[in-house]
Amino acid sequence: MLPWVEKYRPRHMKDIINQKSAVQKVNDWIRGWLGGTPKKKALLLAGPPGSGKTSTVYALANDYGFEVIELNASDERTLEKIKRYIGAAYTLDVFGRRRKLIFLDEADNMESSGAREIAKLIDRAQNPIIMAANYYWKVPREIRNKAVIVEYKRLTRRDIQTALYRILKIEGIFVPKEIIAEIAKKASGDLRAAINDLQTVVSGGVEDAAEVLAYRDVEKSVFQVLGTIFATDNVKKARMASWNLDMMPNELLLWIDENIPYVYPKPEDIAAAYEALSRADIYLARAQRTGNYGLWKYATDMMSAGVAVAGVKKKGFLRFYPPKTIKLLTESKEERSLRDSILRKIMKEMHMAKLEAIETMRIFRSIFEGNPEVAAHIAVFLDLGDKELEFLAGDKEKAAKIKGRMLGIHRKLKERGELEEHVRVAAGKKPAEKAEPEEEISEEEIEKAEQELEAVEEKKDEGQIDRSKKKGKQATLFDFLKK
Amino acid sequence: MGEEVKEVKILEKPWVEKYRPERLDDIVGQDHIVKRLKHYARTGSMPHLLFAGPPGTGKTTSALALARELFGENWRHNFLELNASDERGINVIREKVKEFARTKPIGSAGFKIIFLDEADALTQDAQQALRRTMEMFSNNVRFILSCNYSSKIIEPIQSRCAIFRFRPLRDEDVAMRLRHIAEREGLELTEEGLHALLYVAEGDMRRAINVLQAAAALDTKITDENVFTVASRARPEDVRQMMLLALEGNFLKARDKLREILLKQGLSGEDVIIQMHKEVFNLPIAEPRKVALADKIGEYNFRLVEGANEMIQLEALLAQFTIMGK
Repeated sequence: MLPWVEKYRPRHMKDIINQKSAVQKVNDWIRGWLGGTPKKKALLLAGPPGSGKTSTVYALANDYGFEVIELNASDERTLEKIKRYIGAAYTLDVFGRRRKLIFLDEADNMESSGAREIAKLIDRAQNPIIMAANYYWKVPREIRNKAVIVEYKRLTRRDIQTALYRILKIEGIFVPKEIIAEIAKKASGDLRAAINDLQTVVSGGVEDAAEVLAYRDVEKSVFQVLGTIFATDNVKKARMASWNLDMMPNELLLWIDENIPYVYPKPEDIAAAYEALSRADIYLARAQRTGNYGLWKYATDMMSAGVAVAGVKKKGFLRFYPPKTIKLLTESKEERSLRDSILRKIMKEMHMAKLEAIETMRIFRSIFEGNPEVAAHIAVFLDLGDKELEFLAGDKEKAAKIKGRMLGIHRKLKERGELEEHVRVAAGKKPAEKAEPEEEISEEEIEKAEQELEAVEEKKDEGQIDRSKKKGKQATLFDFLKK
Repeated sequence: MGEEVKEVKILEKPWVEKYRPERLDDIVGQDHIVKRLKHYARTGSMPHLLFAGPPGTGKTTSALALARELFGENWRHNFLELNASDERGINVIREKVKEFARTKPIGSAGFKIIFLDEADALTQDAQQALRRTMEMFSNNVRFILSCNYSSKIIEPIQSRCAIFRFRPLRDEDVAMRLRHIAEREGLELTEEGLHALLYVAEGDMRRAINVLQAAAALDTKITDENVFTVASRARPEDVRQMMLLALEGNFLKARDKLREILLKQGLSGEDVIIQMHKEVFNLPIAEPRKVALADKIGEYNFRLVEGANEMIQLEALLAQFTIMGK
C-alpha cells in the first residue's frame, strides 16, 4: 500500500495548504528562472516539519516541468552529486529534455566546510537550487546569504483536520471525529505525522486508536528513559529521567524489568537491581492499597535510581527490548483460553479449587493421550468441545478417536433418556417436578436488612445475637407456609 | 451413585467423582469433624463454617455430604458452590449470593448453604466485604468457607465461623480407599503400585484416586512404574528446572521458564513459591545453602503478598538464586 503521505502529496502549488504568502514568493522566484537567471539562484524554505516544504518542491517541479534531484545536505557524498548536476542546465532522459531542480534537504544540518563548497557551487549553478531547513538561522551564513528565504508557518489544528477529512472522503473511510481531533492535536502542526498516524489508525482498526496513538508517543520516549537509567551512575539524573514520561509507574517497571539482565552482566548486579525493583513493586502495591499515591515517588526512586546504581553496566551500544510478557500473553491467548475453559469445567463439575483442577487436568492429559475409551467418558462428563478435546489429547488424530467414542456414549444416553438428565444436573437446574413457584424475598426486605446491618455495624456483637433470634422465627414461618 | 451397581454405566464419571463419599459416615480420616457435622445435620441448624486444610483431605466432600444430609433430595436447590479465585471479584460473588439468597429454601430447612472454595484467594478488602455480605444474609444463608490456611482469613470472619481443621490423611486411610476402588474396578493393585500411590499422594485422596485412574487407563495391573509415569505428568519438573537454571547462573533462561509457568500454565505466584519451598531441600547444593535459600523464599513469599506484581517478586527471588549458586 502506498504511504498516504506520498499518495496525497499536493500535485500543484495551488493545493499547498495554508501557506499562501510562501507559495507566492516561491512562484515569483521560479519565474525568474524561466526567463534567465534570477538575482539569487538559491531558495531556502524554512519552517517546522510537515508544514509543506517538500510538497512545495514537488508541486513546483510538476507545475513548471522540472525534474527534482533530491539530496540530503548532511550526507557527505552530496557535494560530489551536486557537482555532477550543476554543470549542465539540461539533461536528456526518456521524457526528453528536462531541466533539473536540485533539492537540498536538512540544510540546517550540514558541516561548515561543506557549506563553503556548496556556496561556491551555488555561484556556478545553472539550475534552480532549493534548500529546506527547520530553522533558517541554523543554516550556515555563507549559504543563507545567497538564498531567498521563505518562511513556512506552523499549520493549525484546523488545517490538519481539513486535510485528514479530505483524505478520508477520497478513501471512503469513516473515522470518528474524536479520533481525528486527537490525531490533529498530537500532530502539533505536522501534517506529515498526522497523515501517517491516520493511516496507522485506519489500517489497524479504529477500536484501539487511542492506544495506537499513545503507543507511538510513548515508545519513543520510554526508550530514552531506559537509555538514561541504564547509562548513568548519577542518582539525580536517573530519577529525573522518568519524570517527563507519560507512563504509569507499574508499566515502566515492566520495561525496566525486561532490560536489567541485558545491561548488567554480573549476577550480583542483576540481583541488586532486582532488589530495587522488588522494593519499587511493594511501594506500588501500598500506594494502590491505601490510595496514597504519594508513595509512587518512592517506587520510581527505586526503579530508576535504585536500578541505575545497582552495579557495573555493560559498556557501549545498548539495545532495549519492550516487555516480552505482553507479547507472550497475546501469543498464548488462544491456548490460555482453552486451558482456562477446561479448568473451569473441571472446577465446576468436580468441585475443585484451581490448583487442584490444574493437577487433575495434567493427569487427564495422560488418559486422553493413551486411552480413548476412558477419555471419552471424561469428555462427555465434562461436556468438552472439539478444541478442548484436541488440547487435552495433544493431536487431531487422537481427538478424533475420542470423539467417535463420545458420539457412541451420547447415542446410548439418548436411548435411555439419560443425556437430558445429565445435562440438566450438570447445568445445576432443579428437577422439573420440583418446579413449584419460588418464594421471593422482596427487594424491600433485603434493603431493610442492609439498613439494619448498617445500624448494627457499630455495636456488632450484640447485633448478631439479635438477628440469629429473628432467623429462628422466620424459619418456622417458612415451615408453616410450606405445609 | 454407582458404587453398589455392578453393571458398567453408560457414562462413567471420573473416579474422584464416582467414588466421592455421599454420606458423612463414609468420609475417612476426619472423625472429629464428621462427628460435629453429623450433629448439625441431626439438629437441622448450623453456624457459618470455616474448613481449613490441605487439598484432598475432604473439605468439599464434607460440605456436599452435609448438604445432602441436611436437605435430603432438595440439596442441590439449597446449595450454591462458588469459587473465590474464579468469580471476578467480590462484587460478582456478592451479586450471586444476593440472587441465591433471594429465594427461600426448599423443604423443611431454615437456611441455604453457600460453599465458597478458595476463600483465602480473596484479598483482605474483599474479605471485609464478604464479612458484610455474610451478615446481611445470615437470616437464611449459612456460609461454608474453604481454604488451605485459616491464617489467611481475616479475624472478623474467623470469629464468626466454627473452624474445622482437616488433617492430611494417613496412609492407612488412603490405602483402604484405593483397595476398595481397585476391587470395584477389577484392577490388580500390586503392593509396589500401592506404595507408589501413597508416596505421590502425600495424604491427598484426590491425587491418589486421579493417579490411580490414569494408571489404570494404561493397564489394569497397577505397577509402581505406571504410577510414577502418570505422577510425573501431574507434577512436572518445571519449577525445579527453573531453580536449577538460576543456580547455574543462567538468569535469562530461568526467567523465561518462570514466565512460561506463570503465563502459559496458569499457576499463581503463590503456587510457584510454595512449590519452590517444597523443592529447595531436594536441590543438589550444600546443606547451609538450602537453609539460606529457604529464608530467601520466605522473604519473597512475604513480598509477594505485600507487592503488586508477582512476576517481579519471583524474578527478584530468582536473581537471589543466581548469587547463591556460586
